[in-house]
Amino acid sequence: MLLEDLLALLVTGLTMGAIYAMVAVSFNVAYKPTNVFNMAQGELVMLGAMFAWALMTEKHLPWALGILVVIVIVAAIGLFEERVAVATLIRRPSNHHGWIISTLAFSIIVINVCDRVWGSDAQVVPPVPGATLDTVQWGSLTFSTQQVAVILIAAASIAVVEWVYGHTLAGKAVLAVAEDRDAARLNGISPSRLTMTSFALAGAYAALTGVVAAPLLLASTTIGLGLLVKGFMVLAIGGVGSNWGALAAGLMLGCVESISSVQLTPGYRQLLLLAVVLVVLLVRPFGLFGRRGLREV
Amino acid sequence: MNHSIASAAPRSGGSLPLPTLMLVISALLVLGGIAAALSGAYLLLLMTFAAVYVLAAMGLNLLTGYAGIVSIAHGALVCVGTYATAIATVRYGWGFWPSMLLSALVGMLFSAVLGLPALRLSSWYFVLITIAFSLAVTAMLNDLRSFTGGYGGIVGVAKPSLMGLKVDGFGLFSMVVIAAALLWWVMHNVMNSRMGWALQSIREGDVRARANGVSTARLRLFAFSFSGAIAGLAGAFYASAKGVVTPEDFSFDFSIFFLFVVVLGGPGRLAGPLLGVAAFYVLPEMLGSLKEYRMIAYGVGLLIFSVFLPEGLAGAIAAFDERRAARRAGTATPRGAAPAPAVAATRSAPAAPSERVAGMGVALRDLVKQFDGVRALDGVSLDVSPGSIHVIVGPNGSGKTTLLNMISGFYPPTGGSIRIDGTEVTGRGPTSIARMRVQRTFQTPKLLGDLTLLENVRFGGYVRERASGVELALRLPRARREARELDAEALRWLTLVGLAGRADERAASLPHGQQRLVEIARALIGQPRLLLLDEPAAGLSMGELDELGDLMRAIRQMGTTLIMVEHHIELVADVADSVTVLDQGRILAQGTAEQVFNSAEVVRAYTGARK
Amino acid sequence: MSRPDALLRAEQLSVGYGIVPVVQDATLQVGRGEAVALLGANGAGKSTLLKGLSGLLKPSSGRAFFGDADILASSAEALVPMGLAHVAEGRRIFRRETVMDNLLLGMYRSRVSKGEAQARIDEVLQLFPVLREKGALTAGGLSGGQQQMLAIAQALVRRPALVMLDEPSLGLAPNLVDEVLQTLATIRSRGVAVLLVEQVVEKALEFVDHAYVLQSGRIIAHGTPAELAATDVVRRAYLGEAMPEAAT
Repeated sequence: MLLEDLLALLVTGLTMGAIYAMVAVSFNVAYKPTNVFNMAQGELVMLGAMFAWALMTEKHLPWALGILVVIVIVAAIGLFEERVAVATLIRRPSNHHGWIISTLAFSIIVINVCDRVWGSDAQVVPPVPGATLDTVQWGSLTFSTQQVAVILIAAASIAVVEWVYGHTLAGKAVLAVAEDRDAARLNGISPSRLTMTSFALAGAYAALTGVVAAPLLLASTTIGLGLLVKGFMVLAIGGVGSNWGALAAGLMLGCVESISSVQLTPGYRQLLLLAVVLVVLLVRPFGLFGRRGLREV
Repeated sequence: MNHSIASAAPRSGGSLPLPTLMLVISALLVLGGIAAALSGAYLLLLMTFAAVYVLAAMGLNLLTGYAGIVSIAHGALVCVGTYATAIATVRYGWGFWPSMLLSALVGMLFSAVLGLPALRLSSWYFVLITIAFSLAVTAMLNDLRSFTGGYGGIVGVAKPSLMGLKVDGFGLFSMVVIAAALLWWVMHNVMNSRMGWALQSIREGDVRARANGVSTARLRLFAFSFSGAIAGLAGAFYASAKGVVTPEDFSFDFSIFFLFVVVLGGPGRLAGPLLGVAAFYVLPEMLGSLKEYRMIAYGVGLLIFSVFLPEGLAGAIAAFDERRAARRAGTATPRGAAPAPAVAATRSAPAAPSERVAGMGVALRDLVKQFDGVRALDGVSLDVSPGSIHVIVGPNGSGKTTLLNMISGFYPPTGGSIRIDGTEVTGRGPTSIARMRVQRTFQTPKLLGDLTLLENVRFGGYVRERASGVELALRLPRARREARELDAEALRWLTLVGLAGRADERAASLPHGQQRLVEIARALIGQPRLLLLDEPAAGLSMGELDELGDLMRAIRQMGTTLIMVEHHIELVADVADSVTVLDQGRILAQGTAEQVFNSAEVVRAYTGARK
Repeated sequence: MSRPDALLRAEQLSVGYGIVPVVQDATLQVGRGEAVALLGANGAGKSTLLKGLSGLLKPSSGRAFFGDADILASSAEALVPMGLAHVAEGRRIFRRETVMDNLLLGMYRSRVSKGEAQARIDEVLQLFPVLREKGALTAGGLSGGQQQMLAIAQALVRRPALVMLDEPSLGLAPNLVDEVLQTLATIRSRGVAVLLVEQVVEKALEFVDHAYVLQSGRIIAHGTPAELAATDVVRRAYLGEAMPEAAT
């Protein structure tokens, strides 16, 4: 294989990996105070992409305004999901995994409503301001500025998320709730309020992911399911709850996917990725960067 | 013990029990389906598909409904079975029947392989792996298009032939119905035996299962294999009924459909899949409701049911049947009500309901347990002679429960050794220790709430049962005989604790104190040679304490060695042969009850008094 | 029988887990600035009662008030800013956070400026000088005694009106127990009321104005330490009726 081809594959792999990492981080945000893995998170990313198309492409809203509106809308949907599908179920001690089905149900509703409203065709979304989809040549390296933008935004946004958990009292309160819910309550911290906030923020982050990824992925109502699975794979490899681990795992997974596309057809690629996840879990059940005892595996 | 179909009327009732609502509805649905199938070609095809879906859903019900393992790969497994039959008959000229067996085998293998990660992973990890698997199968259908026919699919799947005659139309429909009926019977046998209870115990958390000596890994593998085989089998019929097999039929929605049918129909109930398919497939099809909104309706239904009606349709009907039976029996047992007075049964003779056993001795040497900075046990050495009753007492945090957990294998020791019956058992897991005929109870009772008292007690006999899975599935004579004998023994134990009159009630409806007594009875039917009790007297009323005393006498009669953690000093003084006092992980005093409670040191440890 | 001006009062309170009743018909009160002990053997229900009072468990019947607030109608997190502090058993600090963050989290609901927060932390560290050097350390690395002090400090930093402590001496060496009780005496002298659950009866009785004795979920006796010492009700509650007088 030529160096150019290899580098081009790596660029694609890193870009897609960055997107997968962002999806994984949005899962983590909702997961931390609740231990709930939101099965509808992939659809929230899809909503981000589709609303971006509806507002920016169709209604010609300027990008900066558009992304704000999209983030607010999807955050509200995330909050709505928490109230309707999550809050009642995590309170029940007997059926403590009922949220698997209720969040799954919510995702089914979302994807099918969107299908009805928008149809399933792929749509175009404008790139990040200042970036384009045109390719740039740099020696043997070929890339588009949008791809670079995606990777940078992923890294920067994850840094922001980590900063919030490490340097704000609210972020530390979320970690406290994850560690010992009752002790948190006895300090006046309200787990239910933090849960609502977290789900809303997870929705916001998913929206950001959708808006930023859509120019490359093409917005369509069908992208949610694939992103759900990829996001899970990244978390499984990187370790649930670890955001930097998600970035590392995402980039790695993206490259494996990209390079294997030379030889493998989509079906075999899926199986390969699944096999990689299973092997990692066999050897490190808590992921490469996860912590023992922190999460139930 | 007919759990789902038969009436829950008390055994002593003289009049014929009226059929339950569940039975009536199920019968009506089946008869209605047959009638519809006879009335025209469109309905015949619809009913054939419905029967295939019921068959497949019953397989998923075992995995997701009973064992509680949520899987979204079932549609993909049916797909695999469908394609296996299609390819075998069309490309390789096989007959239908061998292809059907191939489909079942293929389904079983795929499912077993899929299930391997589930042996070690938690529920939601596994759900996503099944989703990934489903997507992979869909993609592979296209990748292997020379084999599978790609988007065009495979045309001309053979119909089954019976004695030279091709079976189609109503014949094919009947065949599927008969297959489903046979499966119903087999599942009924399995679910009302130790295998079914063991599967349900997985749903409620492994701890109970392992404490009974159940190998959860093997059981899960069985659940996967079985549900996969059924999916494959259903796939074979599906291929034959459709005639043309294309990837379009097997989108991700197909797997969601099966999950939906099982969860909404009623998870963990035999009639669940029938109700699910009837209400959520047949009915919408017949009413011609807008197909485009079908999936949205499924999603909304799933959400509403999971929040408000987690037991599904069958669960709601079963609750109705229970209330009716309770009213007829004259005792109102709504859940969570004030405890019903314990039945004043005749205090039976102290003879133990089970045979004598050879009690095992226990020897602990320098046992240490360190948790993260806390030394729960700090060099404990102890000898318990076979057949004796030994009680461990001590203030809060002294390490009593930790000690029990270590003897029963739930915590591995940090240092020191444990010998049971002279054998070194240090580091062995709970299942392995349970198989040495060691039983234990927990601070909170861990009965299986949905099963009756009788079934719960019988489940304790898990390690004693000799009948194999196949014998249970087909109700062969040895299985039936064992069941009868164990039922009788279980009833004797329930009589000993004064609960024989409530043998057919759900364990979840029993007040706490009585649940504890039932749990001890369950431990005893396993004929343990060593029994560990964790605070058996906690929260018991005066009457229940009397029953507990009887239990202690029966245990002594049996010859079982008993090690017990207890606070209730009178009870301790009454029954204990020897007492150990723990304080902060070390032994403070050992001896008879009199010696120990007269020791000034012990009094001081408890009260800090220097008087 | 109960004084309506008491800071904390419970009347016929029953608390349990699900259908299991653990505490039944408990009536007690703590006045402003008072120190009260709750005594009883293992399993008597002391921790359960505290959880019912702080809102972690929903009582099944009875009434309880903290000042004017109806405890049964409030959530645990809502009672905290009202001045109720529950230091649960088992040293429930946040082991993965630093000592400083633990103290800051203690003030999560207090609306204080940065300066005020720092001032309060300094004030509390004066009571627990051993924690001073350890501000940046992860709480999980502290010794048992230091963790217990941090747990109490975390409550004190919000200037509560009443502190409920569940067996603070558990697992501590005797000299540390003395230190803890000394600290309690100090905060008591600053007007903070204390409700102390303890197994180490004698030391607890030295410190409090009033004590309640719990047995099998019911309050069987209460009075001043002198009144209780005159009877042997305490010893009986711990060791049961059947036991003869302990030999000295």
